[in-house]
Amino acid sequence: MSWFTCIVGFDRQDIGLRTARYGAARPSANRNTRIARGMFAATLALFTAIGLPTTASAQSVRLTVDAHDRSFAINGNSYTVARIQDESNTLTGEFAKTSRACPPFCITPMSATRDVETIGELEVMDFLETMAAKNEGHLIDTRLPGWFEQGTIPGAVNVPFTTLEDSNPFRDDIVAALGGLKQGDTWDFSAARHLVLFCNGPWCLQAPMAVRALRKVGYPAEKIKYYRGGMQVWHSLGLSTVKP
Amino acid sequence: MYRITMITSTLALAAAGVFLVEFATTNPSAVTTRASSDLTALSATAVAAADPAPTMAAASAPAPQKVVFSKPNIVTDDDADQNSLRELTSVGIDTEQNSALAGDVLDGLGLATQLADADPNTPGSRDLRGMSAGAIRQLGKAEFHVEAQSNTQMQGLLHSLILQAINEGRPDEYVDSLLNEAAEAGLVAVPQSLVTPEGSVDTKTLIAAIVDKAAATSDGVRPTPRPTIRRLEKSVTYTVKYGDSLAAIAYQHYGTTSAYQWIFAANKENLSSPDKIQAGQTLIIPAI
Repeated sequence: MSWFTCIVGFDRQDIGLRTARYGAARPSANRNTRIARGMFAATLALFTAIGLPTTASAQSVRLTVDAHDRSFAINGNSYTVARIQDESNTLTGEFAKTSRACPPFCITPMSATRDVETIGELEVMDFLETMAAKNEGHLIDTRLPGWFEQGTIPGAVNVPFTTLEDSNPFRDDIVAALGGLKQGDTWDFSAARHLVLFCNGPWCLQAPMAVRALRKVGYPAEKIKYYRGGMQVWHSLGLSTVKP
Repeated sequence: MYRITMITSTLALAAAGVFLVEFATTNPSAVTTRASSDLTALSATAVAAADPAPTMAAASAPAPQKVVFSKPNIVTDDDADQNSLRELTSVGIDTEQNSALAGDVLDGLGLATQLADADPNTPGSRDLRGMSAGAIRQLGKAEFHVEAQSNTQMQGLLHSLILQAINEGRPDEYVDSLLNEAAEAGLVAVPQSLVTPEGSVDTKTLIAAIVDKAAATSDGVRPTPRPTIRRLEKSVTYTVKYGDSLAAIAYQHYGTTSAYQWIFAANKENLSSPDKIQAGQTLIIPAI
C-alpha cells in the first residue's frame, strides 16, 4: 500500500458488491401449506399490530422504518436509493479492508472545520431530494475521477479535491460554477449553491481538505456540509451506487 | 535556505510517522499552531493529506491524553539506499527552483507537447485542466471553455508530485512507487519516452535528469556550462534491455534525456511510439 493510493485515492479493484436479490425473505412454496399459512397469518397479525406494511413480498431491508427507498430527479436524471436486499450480502474488495496504513489513511475527526456541520446518510438523501433536486445544491464527490467512475452516490458530481486548491489555475472557474461571484479580489457567495462533500469515508482526507480549501476561498460555512461516512459507510449499508 | 531544508526534514519525519504527538490537556494551542504553520503551506497539493497534525487540530472533541503514531509499514528514509532527490534540498535549491527544474526536465521529455495534444474533455485526461473542465461541466456550466495555458500550467499532476517529493526530501524509491502507481491508474500523464518494455515508468532516468539539472543550477553561481549533450561521431546499434526507456537510452548515449527524439526519429520504421520499445529490440542510435 503506498501513500499515493490513499491520497489521490484510486484503485482499480472493483468493490465487488453484488446486485440486489429480492425474495430471500419469501417463504418457500414447497412447505407444508398449513404451516405456511399459519406462519403467514401470524406474521400478518404481528405486522398489522405494529403498523408495518402487510404485503407478503415486503422487502425486509429498508432505509428506515417508514421508507423502503427514496427517489429524486437531478438535472433530468432519475435516481432511486435503496439497500441491497440480500441479507447475507457482505462487502468484498476495496471497502472490506480494515487496516490501511496510516499515515496516510488516518482516521479523520468528526468535523472538517470548526464551523462546517457533519451529516449522515439520511441527511444526504434529504439534501438530494430538496436542495440538489431544485438545483440549489450539489452533492460533491471530492475523489479523483478514477474512483468516481467506479461508483458514486446517485446524483453526485465530481469535483476532485485537487481542483479546489490554490495551485489549480482553474480554481476560480470552479468556484464561479458553484455560484460564487468574483468582485475584484473578493467573492460574493450570496447566490452560491449549498454543498455536501464526501470522499471514501472516515479514512479519507480528501473531503476535509476540499472543505478547508472552500472555506479558505471564503465559501460560507453554512452552505457547506461534510458527509464523513462517505463511500465506506454508504457501501457498508448496501446503499445504491451509480457509475456515472 | 537552511529554513527550507529544516522544514523539509521535519516534513519527512512527520510523514514517515516517526514522531510522537503529545496532547497535554493544558496545551491544546500548541497543536493548532503547528497545523497552521509552514506544513500546510508547503504541502498544499496532493500529498498534503499525509500529515496527521492538521486533522488533529480540527477535532473539536476533547483530545486524548497521549497519541502515539507507530511506525507504519512503508518505505522510510532509513530504508532507502538512494536519496538523490533528497540531496537536492541540501544543496540549497529552493521550492521555486525545484519547480522550474522539474518542469524543464519534463518539458525535455515531451510531456508538455503530449498534454497539449490531449483533449481536456476526454475521460483519460487526468490533469488539473481536464479535471476542472470536467467538474465545471458537471456543475451545469457547459459554456465554460478551457483556454490554452502555458506549459507550466499543463504539466499537471506529475509535475506537482515530483515537486512534492523533492521538497519533502523523499527517497528515490518512494518516487518510483508513487509515479508508477499513479501512471498505472491513468492518473498522471507520463512522457512516453520514460516507459520501459514492462510498461512501468523509468523513474531512475527521470530522477537522474532532475538531479543533473539541479547540479548545474545550484549554489546561485552558475558553474561552467556543462556540455550536457554529447556528440556521437558514428551511429551505433543498441539492444533494448528490460528496464530501459527511450529516455534512458538517450541519456546513456547523448547525456540528455530529451535526445530520445533523435533515437525515435531514427527508428520510426520499427517503433510506432516512444513507449512501445521491446526488450531485445535493436535500435539505431544515430550520429549527431
